[in-house]
Amino acid sequence: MNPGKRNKKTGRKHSGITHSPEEKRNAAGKRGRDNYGKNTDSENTTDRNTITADTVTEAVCVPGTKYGCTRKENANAGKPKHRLNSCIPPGPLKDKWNHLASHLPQLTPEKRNISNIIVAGGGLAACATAAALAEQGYNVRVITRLESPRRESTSYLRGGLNASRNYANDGDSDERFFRDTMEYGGWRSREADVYRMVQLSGRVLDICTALGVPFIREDGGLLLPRPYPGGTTSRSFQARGQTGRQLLNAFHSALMRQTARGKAVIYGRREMTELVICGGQARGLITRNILNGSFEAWTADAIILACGGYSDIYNSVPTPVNGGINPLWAAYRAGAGFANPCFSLTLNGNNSRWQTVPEYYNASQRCSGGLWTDYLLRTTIPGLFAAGESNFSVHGADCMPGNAPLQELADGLFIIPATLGAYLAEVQPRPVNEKHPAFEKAMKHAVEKKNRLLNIKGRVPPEEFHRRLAGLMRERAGFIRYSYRLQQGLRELRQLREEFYNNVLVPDINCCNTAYETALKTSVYLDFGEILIKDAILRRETCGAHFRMDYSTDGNISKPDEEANVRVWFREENRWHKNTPYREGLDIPVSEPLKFTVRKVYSGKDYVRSRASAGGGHGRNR
Amino acid sequence: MEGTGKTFSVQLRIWRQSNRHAQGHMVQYQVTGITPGMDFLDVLEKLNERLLLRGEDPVVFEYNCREGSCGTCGLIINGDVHGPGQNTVTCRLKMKNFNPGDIITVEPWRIKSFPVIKDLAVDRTALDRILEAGGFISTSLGGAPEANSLSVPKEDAEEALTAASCTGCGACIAACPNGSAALFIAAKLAHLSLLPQGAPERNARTISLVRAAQKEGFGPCCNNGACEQACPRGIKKDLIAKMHSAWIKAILSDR
Repeated sequence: MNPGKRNKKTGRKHSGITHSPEEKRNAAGKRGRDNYGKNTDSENTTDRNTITADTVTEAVCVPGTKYGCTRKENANAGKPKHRLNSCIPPGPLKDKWNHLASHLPQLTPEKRNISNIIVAGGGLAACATAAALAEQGYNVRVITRLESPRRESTSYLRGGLNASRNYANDGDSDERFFRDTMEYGGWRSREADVYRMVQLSGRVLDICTALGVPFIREDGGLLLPRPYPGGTTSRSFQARGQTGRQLLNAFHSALMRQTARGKAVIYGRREMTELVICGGQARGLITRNILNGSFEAWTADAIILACGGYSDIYNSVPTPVNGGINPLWAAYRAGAGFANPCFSLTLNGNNSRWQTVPEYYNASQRCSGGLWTDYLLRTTIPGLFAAGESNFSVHGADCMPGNAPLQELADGLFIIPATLGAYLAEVQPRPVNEKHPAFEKAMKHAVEKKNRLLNIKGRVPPEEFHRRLAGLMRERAGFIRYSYRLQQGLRELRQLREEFYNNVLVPDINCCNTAYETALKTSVYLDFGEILIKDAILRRETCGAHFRMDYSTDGNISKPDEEANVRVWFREENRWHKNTPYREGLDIPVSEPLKFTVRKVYSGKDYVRSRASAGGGHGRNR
Repeated sequence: MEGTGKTFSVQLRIWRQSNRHAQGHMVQYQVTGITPGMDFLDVLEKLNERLLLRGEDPVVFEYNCREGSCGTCGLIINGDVHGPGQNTVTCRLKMKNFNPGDIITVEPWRIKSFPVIKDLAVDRTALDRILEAGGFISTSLGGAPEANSLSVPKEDAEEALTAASCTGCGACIAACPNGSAALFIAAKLAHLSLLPQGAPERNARTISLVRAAQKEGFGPCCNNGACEQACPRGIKKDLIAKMHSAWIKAILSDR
């Protein structure tokens, strides 16, 4: 398992972006016409931002030995070569987390009492993380966009909460839940992360019940799990179509208990715009106060992003109005890797996912991708953690109904509290204050961006641009994707960005400047859309909510790869582009190969065959 | 939706107030190009785009999910909380409820404890402060008992769920002539106290929530039932009666 050996292995063929000569030749043969007779040569344009294999750096994934990697290794890796270490502990799947959790270094209660943590976000993951950390004694500040976490977007969730408790006696187990989840996610997630989520599901359910979530019950008074659409086992615990509301209420109340104790404070109506890095560690934020338009600096020993996703780029109902793109983009700009920027969709109440496509294809309900995190939910920036929808950890698997809240709660209640303590014990961050040059630089950047947006003084309201961008994304990078349309989308996106920078109208109002918020968000989406489309171009397969017509075998079955990859994007920024609020930069994709130890049963063609012969088996609902 | 059938115009009389301390006033605007299928909030957005182009301050109003589950939106439209009709939400209100040429008055929640932030947006953090006083079950987040070790009678669970569906939008308070938060608190108390998990803290919780509401300046219940009609979730005012009896029990008990 030494890195050199791995290097050789990753060079082997797979459909990711690290090409062997053989694969390049194949691709060249295919190029020119896709299945639909459309010209795909545009992949060859010489534009600076066009993706070629040359811009792709190889990733090296070294499994951790003790409890993960030492961070020094990553810090010294050199800028262009981004190294990813997923830090998955050794040992059998089911022992990985328990073993790790009982060996992680810990902080003493006294040290926790003087550690300051910021949780950016206000939904289910943020409430759960903040409440769990505050209960351990950390001083937690929750910085959120709305006035109260009660109103956050988790409240739209209707499905249920999954737990592998087998109360229904239909043969459910951790193992079966794990396989179902991996199947549902198209084997695009790390098996260790998924297994851990599944293992924790029972405890999550216990805590939800203890906090007073009124799940549906049987006449005898015990919990009544329901089957999820198309599933074979009943493991979804529901609260009459408002599970999200009930879970959010419960964890908001848990957070309220901590605010009453004084261990947590909620700072509402603040939008995070910058992440501050001091000495290589994430040590603070710059936020914009929505009520008076001023920028504020916050320091902390560690920062947890639990701000949700970016599905608002598709502007479909119901998605969060402002979403979590600003914090995510701030982290990405500061050097965090962004993994698999794509979306997943959940179709309600119908077990055939494909028949309903025309109606639902644009209903991007959850973002599968997010900040790249290792097994310990650490991003590539030391001191910055990501929880819930903001990370990619169970990529794709979260589109299985009932898994979304489970992931958020497992991350927030158990994983972050364990790994954050380990980080602080290991790194022991030194105190910083807002006078540090890094804060001034970030503050300057935030103000500069605002001034540049205000100075455009165009004639079109920002909402109009957001609508047009969403239309473009749905049309060109929605559920059904073609290579040539994605390329076209990329060109249109750049045109739209050009137009935005020439013609957007942003008023200069301090209090509740909704138009400015929309303009800021749209300008970020215009940058983010680019990596979303580029990622879709590079993804030569059909899987989940990524239906590449030019890479689908018989129209509706995904082509399972021998090996799957996580594609992680890194951004390197240079300077402001002319007078526009755009930072010139380069998005560099890196791939982390995914290894499966339990995959073999479903490999290649046997995968399809075993699915067909299984009848109503657990593999059916892919 | 737009472009199908005839469009019409309405006059919007909107409360404009530039900040918490400023003097507010009503301003009338005409909005054209409305179809019956449009959301009421779409009309406000349409107006805002025009105001923006004219160089005026857009009207500030709040919304999030646009499907009635988050509790962010809330306006008084023609004197009705959340607009015409019972148990509605502002974000679900369609323009088919209005006639062409109507003058529609739009105001924010009018409660002392919900100060206006700007125009139609109000500060409802008072509700969070009430919950902070005890609107939770004190349990540690690490080791909870196995979920099925507690048996909850189905009817209690259902009733608790109905009470718990409160989104905290504040409509009940805005509708009450006394500005009473009784329905909001009663729903919270019913939800937590009906479940065995929340029973041990029942008395203390009842007392602290009621006192916190008084401290925040919410009035006493006036029993006129306006809250029940305004509630988008259809929470019944019977819960208030239960809260009163729980209050008496709590006061008479030792703690």
